[in-house]
Amino acid sequence: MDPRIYNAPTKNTWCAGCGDFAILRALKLALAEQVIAPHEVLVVSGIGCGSKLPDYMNVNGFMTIHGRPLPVATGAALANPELKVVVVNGDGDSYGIGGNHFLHTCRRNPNITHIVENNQVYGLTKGQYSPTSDKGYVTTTSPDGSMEMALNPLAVALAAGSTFVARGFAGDPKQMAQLIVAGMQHNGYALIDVLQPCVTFNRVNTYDWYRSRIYKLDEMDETYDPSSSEAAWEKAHEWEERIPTGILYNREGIPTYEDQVIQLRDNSPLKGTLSLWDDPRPEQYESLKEQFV
Amino acid sequence: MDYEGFLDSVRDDGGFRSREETKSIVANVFRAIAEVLPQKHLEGLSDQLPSELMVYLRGAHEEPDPYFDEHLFLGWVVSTIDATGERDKTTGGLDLYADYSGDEAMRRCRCVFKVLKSTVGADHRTSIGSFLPDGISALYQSA
Repeated sequence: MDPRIYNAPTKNTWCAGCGDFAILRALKLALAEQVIAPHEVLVVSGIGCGSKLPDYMNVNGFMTIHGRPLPVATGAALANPELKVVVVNGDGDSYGIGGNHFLHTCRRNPNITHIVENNQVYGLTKGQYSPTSDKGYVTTTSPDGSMEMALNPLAVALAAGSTFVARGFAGDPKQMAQLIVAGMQHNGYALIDVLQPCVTFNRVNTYDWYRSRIYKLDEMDETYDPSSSEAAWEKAHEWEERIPTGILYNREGIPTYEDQVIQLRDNSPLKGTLSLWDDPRPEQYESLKEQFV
Repeated sequence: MDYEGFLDSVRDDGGFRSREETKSIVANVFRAIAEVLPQKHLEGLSDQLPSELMVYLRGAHEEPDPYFDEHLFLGWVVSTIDATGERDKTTGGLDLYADYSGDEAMRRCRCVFKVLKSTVGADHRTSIGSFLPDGISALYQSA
């Protein structure tokens, strides 16, 4: 499938050179590789530079309030388990404002692929430190350097029970597309934390900074076993000098949240009372319009 | 041309404020080139470019990422632009410099490309351009 099918005519307002461009491209490539039609995908986002992404794609999009894309996406996945649900939001939206939802999504294991555009700064609001900013990081709101220890999202995800944990780099779109494909094919919640330089407000964690530190797990250690939680835990704590990218943890066979909801076993809500799929009668459209429009 | 001469030419052409700023611009444009230039291409270049510049190309990959595009290329260069503290040229916005940093990044690329093209031989001049992402290649050709 040609990835251009997902192109939208909307004018892009990201800064030139923003790492979000690579994430957008990788997502389109991943969808095209899996031959997923635009109407079969829902991309949910929150608030932030990266959360503008659904606007730049020809797919179903839902830009919700700050920090809430995961519960919205969980609801969508429950209502229509056949939908490919992808959440794309930044580190502030995911781990700060939406931190609570992040924890509980990890343990619930809904069938959602979560791509975090982690630029370690609040870009849209002009460069304040975020939950993943390294300690000592100087910004307008931390003129003497951030006093707080940076959140380690991969370790948190592992500790909270996430069944798929990966890290990508915006400078490696090919690998990122592969990770998104793997995350979407995983049965359950898949976290893909993408190191994404903010070229305007983060002058520390630049493309060059990352390039000199990152290494690909599968290339560096062919014996690395992503089903081992101990190995993943160790790799999740590598930072500063060397930063691993790739699939850190992948555990299959864990029931998803949807699998465990009794009401979903026979049919999805969308195929039940509101179904237009099996019996698309005009009066049903009218009935739905009366209820919801 | 030696390294010092290369920097002087870029600085004169771009009107950059300091030698340090020029070094940083040149380094980042070369690092971005390293992302798209296949490793095997470095051998011939090392005879024509000063060793100080070849250092930046050492990061070249055996097989460059085919999806490395003009946005990513510019990202390496935009990082060298001071986006805050400059005069606000936007119309009422608070994006102090970010609004037009892409144009400035392209100008910086053009300055480095111009000197690079005058430094390497005709074969390399053509082949480097062929490895660059589409939008950047056009910029290189026009430099």
